[in-house]
Amino acid sequence: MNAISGAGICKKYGKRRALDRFDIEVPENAITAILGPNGAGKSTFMRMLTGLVVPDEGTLTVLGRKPSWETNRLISYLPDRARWYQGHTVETAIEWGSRLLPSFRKDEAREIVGSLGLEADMETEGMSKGQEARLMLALCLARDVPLLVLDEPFSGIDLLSREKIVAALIDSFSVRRQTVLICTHEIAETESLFDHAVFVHEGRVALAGEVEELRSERGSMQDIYRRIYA
Amino acid sequence: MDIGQFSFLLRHELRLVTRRWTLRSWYWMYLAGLTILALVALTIWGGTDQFKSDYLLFACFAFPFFFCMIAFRALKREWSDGTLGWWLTLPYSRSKLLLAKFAASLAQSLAIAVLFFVALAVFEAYDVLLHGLSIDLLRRFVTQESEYFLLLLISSPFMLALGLMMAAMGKSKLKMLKPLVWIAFGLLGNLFNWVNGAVGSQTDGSLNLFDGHSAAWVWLSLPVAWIFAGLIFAGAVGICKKHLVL
Repeated sequence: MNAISGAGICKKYGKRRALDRFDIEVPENAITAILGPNGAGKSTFMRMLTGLVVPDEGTLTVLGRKPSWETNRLISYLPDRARWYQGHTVETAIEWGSRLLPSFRKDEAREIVGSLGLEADMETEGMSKGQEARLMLALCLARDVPLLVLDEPFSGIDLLSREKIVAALIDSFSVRRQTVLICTHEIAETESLFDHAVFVHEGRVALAGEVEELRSERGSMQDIYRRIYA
Repeated sequence: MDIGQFSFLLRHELRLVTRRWTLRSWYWMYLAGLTILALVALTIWGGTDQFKSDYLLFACFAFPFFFCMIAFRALKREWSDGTLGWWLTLPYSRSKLLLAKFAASLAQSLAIAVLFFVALAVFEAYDVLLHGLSIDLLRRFVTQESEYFLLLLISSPFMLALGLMMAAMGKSKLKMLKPLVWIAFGLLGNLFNWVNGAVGSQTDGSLNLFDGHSAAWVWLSLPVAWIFAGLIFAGAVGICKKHLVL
């Protein structure tokens, strides 16, 4: 079964084609990496999953439905380059999640923020980028929903924060059956997480498959990445 | 979205606004300075035509513009602060998300207006008591304030909806229509001038909105203005649904 299916998706911004006849199948209950350089169309696709961006052409279904605000009940989404609301503490951010995000588990959120080195009374104002990213990731991981979409969760984050985030992801994935989609450049640190990989190049899928098969046929994910984009 | 979620979203919006006001201490310093100046002026020149509280009522002319900017800022903040991805992917319809912003902006606008009118009524009372003037002057002043407040009630939903539309349009494919919205902002925000010109204020400054026979059109304009506000709001929702460039 596929959690996400897309066929012939096109999206243009002015004259630039962000997605050009983009076809994709994302298997259910697997961790899928969406890989590619900047401007490949990855984030445009991730935004489409939550209804933020609407395809100009083609069809896209997420958990069997057309993406809209209604399907967002079932999706936990970490936006690209996002910030958290200033003036919140970690605890008020958790309260925000528990009041507005369906299937949000407050106790689990407290546990995750603790494991990520954040304290309840820390204020978002004055947090480092890494701390803010960890808070936002914790809010996403605390939702018990069938689909988790993480758009560049490691972007611009220091090594220690990245390690903490990867550890939190591994913990989360080991206890929950969830379809996970991660868009990232940090292949070296995250390669071990992925079951499935999709390489996006100039708005199209250049290569997709099971990570184990790709590795046995073509070498490490980094080698494949270099061959496709070099 | 149930009532509890909407009320939480509304409180979240209000918290962001209140935080802004409390963080900027210079707002309050200016306000305190202006209050002291007004009181000094009333003490020295009050009781004559040299300085009256009525003059301060002219600040109302800027209120419709100010209200529009409050709503504009409430929406634009989502992309300028980088929180758009969270806000716009909440599992609630765009109309409800925008309605929370509209309601928070309306509450903020009306709170500012009420505080302003109450402060001015206190100034007028101070003037009347200090200079031994007729209490009837205070009554007339409060009536005049009520007229101005009524005009703000009529116009504020429209100006707030316009502010939301301006902000949404700025982030959309429909940017080219922005000059039209700015023209509407300039023309309709100037409401007090239009009304003053049309009704013709009396020597006591009253617009005669409550005397039963004049300016019936002002009363009739209330539902019309609110219907237009609804249409503009629906336009802003439509832009947020289909035309944002993200």
